[in-house]
Amino acid sequence: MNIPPIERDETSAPFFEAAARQVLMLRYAADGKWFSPETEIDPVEPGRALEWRPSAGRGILVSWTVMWGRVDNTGQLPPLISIGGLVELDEGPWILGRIVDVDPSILSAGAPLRVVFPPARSGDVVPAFTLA
Amino acid sequence: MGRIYGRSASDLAAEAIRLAVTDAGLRMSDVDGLLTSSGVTRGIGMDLAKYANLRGLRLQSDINAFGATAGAMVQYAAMAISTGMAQVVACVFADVPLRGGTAAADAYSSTPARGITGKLRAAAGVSSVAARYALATRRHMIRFGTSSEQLGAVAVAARKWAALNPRAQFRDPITIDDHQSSRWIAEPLHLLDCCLVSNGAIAVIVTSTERARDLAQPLVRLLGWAQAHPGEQNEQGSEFGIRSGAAESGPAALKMAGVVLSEVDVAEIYDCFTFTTLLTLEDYGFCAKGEGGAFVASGALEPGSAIPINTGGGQLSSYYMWGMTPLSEAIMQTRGQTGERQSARHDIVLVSGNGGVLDHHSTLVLGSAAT
Repeated sequence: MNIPPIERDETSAPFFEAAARQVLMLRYAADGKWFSPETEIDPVEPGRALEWRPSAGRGILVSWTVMWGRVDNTGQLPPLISIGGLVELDEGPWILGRIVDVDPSILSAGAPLRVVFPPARSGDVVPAFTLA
Repeated sequence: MGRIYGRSASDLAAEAIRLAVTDAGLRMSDVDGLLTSSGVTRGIGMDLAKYANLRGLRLQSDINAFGATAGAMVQYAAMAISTGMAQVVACVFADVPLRGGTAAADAYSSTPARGITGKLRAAAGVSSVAARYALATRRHMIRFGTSSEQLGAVAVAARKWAALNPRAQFRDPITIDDHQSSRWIAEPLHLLDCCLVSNGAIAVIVTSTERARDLAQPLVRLLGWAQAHPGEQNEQGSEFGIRSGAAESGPAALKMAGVVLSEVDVAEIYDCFTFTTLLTLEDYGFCAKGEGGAFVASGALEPGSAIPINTGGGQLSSYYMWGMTPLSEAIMQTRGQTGERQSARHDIVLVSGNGGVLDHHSTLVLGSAAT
């Protein structure tokens, strides 16, 4: 499966610039509440500006899906293509990211994760996660 | 319906409207309202009126609530009619995602990555609807112990109903073993957890109850309706995969209809994935929260059970016209026109619509002439 090159646009630029520096950015409100990086409007006080703030990069696994390749014979084991994870960061927000460098059969809900930044062949570096 | 090639969505939609108008015993000139709903190919819209030679319309819109659209269109038509704004409203869905020579799966492959959300999804390999539904399904499995074999029971039952439906695209029986050995689409979802793909169109004509009583077909009343769009946030405490808008829209629609769940005779549930059926039945209250797996594996979905569910084979086995799949079957059941698969009791029929990835929900409560 080809991962399309990920390219930034204006609103996402701070997120991807930080990822290039190996930093996972989240949105943050003055009252101390954190939001996912896609959040553009403060859900509590819509007029208030949200800051970009670095996450500690730690979290737990909420859910995951494993993408397997196709096989010609039913006897063959399908090749692992990627693991897509739904991660709950310690700050509270959820984020989607590939789960890398792990055998999917050992994954369990609540597994502690840490963010990593695999090099991108083209386009932007994107946060991924591995077992902490 | 199904593997029809070489016809545009507009062409199919216009034919569906003509057929529905004729079926009702009306004329095209009686139609004064048009609501259009496009599928993944975005093939019909406001210019369908001109294409179908519908003039003098007093209501026209293109509506999109994804899989909740069919229910929503009928709701808006009913509200317009009740105010006197229109008298005969055609609600039509059309889509032509299948192209000869390409795999059905390609029809619903990833959309271009947009914004941080789209880009994170793409990088995580979860751009497809199936992958996102897989995340939801696994969450339910983790929380409640729901198993893949239980999801298989949903697919097996749908296929049994489809065997009784001459319009169904897939009618050969399948077993739990077939389900388990079907290839992974996005684990934990197998191929047989996913709905099929169809080219086609379905039109539903809505008019006032008084007018409908005099028309050609048995009366199908709209007793109640509701929508729910919970707006789950991507954060700790989210009920993604645990609870959907059906938990709100079901009870609200039943309350409007003045009936309780135990009075429902037939349920037609939007089943884009086996998991959708399971979660919706839980959220509607057919079983307790978390017990959907045991419920669907109990035989409750099979022909001959107490409450017939997805009697045409659903989107899993009959045809995929988004929310028009359960709605069309519900209308035919309420009329008493489903032949071999007809439920003996068909006075109160529940119809669900499910859009996005468990984001948007509609419920209709239909009533027969006896209500």
